[in-house]
Amino acid sequence: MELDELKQKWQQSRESKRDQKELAMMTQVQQHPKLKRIRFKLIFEAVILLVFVFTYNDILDGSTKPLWANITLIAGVSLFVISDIISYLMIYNPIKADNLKLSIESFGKNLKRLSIFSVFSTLLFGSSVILFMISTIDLTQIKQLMILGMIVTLIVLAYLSYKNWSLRIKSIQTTLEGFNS
Amino acid sequence: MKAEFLQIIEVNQGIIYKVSKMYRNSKEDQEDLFQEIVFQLWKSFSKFRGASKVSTWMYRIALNTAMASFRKKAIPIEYNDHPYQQSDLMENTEVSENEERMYDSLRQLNDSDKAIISLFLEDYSYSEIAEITGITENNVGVRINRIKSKLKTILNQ
Repeated sequence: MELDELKQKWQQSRESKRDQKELAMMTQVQQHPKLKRIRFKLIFEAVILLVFVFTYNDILDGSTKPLWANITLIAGVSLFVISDIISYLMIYNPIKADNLKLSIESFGKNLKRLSIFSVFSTLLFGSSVILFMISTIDLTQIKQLMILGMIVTLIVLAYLSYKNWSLRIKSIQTTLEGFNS
Repeated sequence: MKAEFLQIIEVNQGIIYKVSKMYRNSKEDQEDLFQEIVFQLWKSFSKFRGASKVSTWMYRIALNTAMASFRKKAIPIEYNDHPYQQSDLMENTEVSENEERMYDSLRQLNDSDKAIISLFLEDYSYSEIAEITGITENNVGVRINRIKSKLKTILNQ
């Protein structure tokens, strides 16, 4: 295929024939493939939070834990949810400027900030849960080993989250470098 | 306002189709991107005052959305469950072999090259491409020559 043929093919390629009803559905936030997933995650976390609030005193013995453990736990949970809300807003509004280069540049910067915040909030959330659990218990050897296991799991999860973010950031940086080359 | 928007998108949906097909490999990903672009176009429609051509505005939003949105990991999902699958013309239409070959070739370019060449193939002038992409007019010329060479190599393979 020669380039002229390619141009002709491109201009003739318009196979989509959706009707207005289908297109109207796509304008709804509930139909957005990625926002739909984050909304589900947010709702799920909100339910977990509600369950947590209602069982706080009975199951988790919140009133018997030290104040610092309670504050750390609330801060950890809140930051985790805030991180999801920021992700949601970022996907909701990816277009940051009139031209592609500036828009991608700005999007990349926001993505970097969000990645730091997200990994930090994951670490804080995990740490706060562990601290809350150990704040009033006697640390036997078995319990110490269990806590060590939880800490290692948390570090692995945070690392995987960091790797995932790095891939996304690298993809945006590569696109930006493409515009600058 | 929505009726006017839907009318515009219905007439010009080929732009969204082409961008989705060029930036994503699987049909499911193309479908997701198509929806994301329509959503972003609707969001920005109130700011579109006709200062540029409809097609320019659509390309700007479509390319931006394609480059910024996260690509899903390759997790196998049952495609039959998709709400638009029944009337999905990406799925149902028999696309010619040559057209598929064109998209296969274009998909081998990097994201910025895809944006530049799609505007070139659509007959936009160098100054228009420069305005949409944010690179200089001279650079557009240089880039297009480079992309043409890349495409020739790909097409001759």
